[in-house]
Amino acid sequence: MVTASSFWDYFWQYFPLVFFSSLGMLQIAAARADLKGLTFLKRPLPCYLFGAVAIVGAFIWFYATGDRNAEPLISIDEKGKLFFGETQTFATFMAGAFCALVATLLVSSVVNARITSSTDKGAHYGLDALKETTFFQAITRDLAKGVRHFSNLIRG
Amino acid sequence: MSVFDRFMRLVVDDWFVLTCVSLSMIIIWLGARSLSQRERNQRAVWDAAWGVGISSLWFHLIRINEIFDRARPFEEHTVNLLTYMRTDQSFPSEAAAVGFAFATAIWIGNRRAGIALGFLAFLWAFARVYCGIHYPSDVIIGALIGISTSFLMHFIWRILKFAPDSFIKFMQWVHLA
Repeated sequence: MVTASSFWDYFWQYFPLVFFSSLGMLQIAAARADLKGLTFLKRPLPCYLFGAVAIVGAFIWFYATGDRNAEPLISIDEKGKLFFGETQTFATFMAGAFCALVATLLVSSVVNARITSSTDKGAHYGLDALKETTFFQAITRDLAKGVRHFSNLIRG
Repeated sequence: MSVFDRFMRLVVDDWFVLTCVSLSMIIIWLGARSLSQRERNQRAVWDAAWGVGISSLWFHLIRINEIFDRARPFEEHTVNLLTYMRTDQSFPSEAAAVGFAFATAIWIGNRRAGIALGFLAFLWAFARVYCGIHYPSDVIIGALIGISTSFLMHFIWRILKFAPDSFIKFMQWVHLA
């Protein structure tokens, strides 16, 4: 088996592109939908700028670090046939996007903790909850509600 | 190399359009301002994921490329090859199938986003022909496979409504939809 590069070589080339561009796209989406609990910055315009810089920067880095049309990054067998290319790309994309989502939820929950905790209206469901609370606050509030409901059930 | 050739080299590769289209799913899923549009968008993203997945299955499970076994244009003609030599079969184009599967599924739920993605899919398909790795008929049939698969998946999920409903409900429960 001849390999153009190992999976991990491939992974570390594509992962940063997906991670940083997803991070940027999440900020743009959060600012657009007014999800204050999900943004890193208070006002929408800086969020759009942050998102645009992250996306463009990630793409510039990716294309500046190698000629992406010279050879496939993915593994090839001795006949020169592609093998597992799409699977690797898909797995790497999902890993990058998932890590960007986790990073966004963590950072936004920390950054906005003080801003939103005082205005916890607590009535919204789903994504709308993140307009007024952080992800961490929304989840802990739901858990507390669940525990209260469960203890009431036990008490009858 | 001309500016247009450079642009086509950017569009034709295995990452640029695919990454842009995949990233657009994030803003379509999260970025709607109204609740009704958000619900339509999230259903469209669900349909797109299935449309693209099933379109890819035609190529990887049934291996329709191997049934037709058509050589790439650069193997049979003198072309200005602007990218590396693909070694798999030419007909039909998986890139066109995937691009148009995304665009069609999103178009059903969000016309504007669907048209934008359709333009990207067209650009990707055009670049594959321009750069010498597909014949026009490869991308036309590939696009038809992607479009028809997305419509098929849309109608299947309209009948089996409980599956996308349950998924979106779960995502709402964890505040991600």
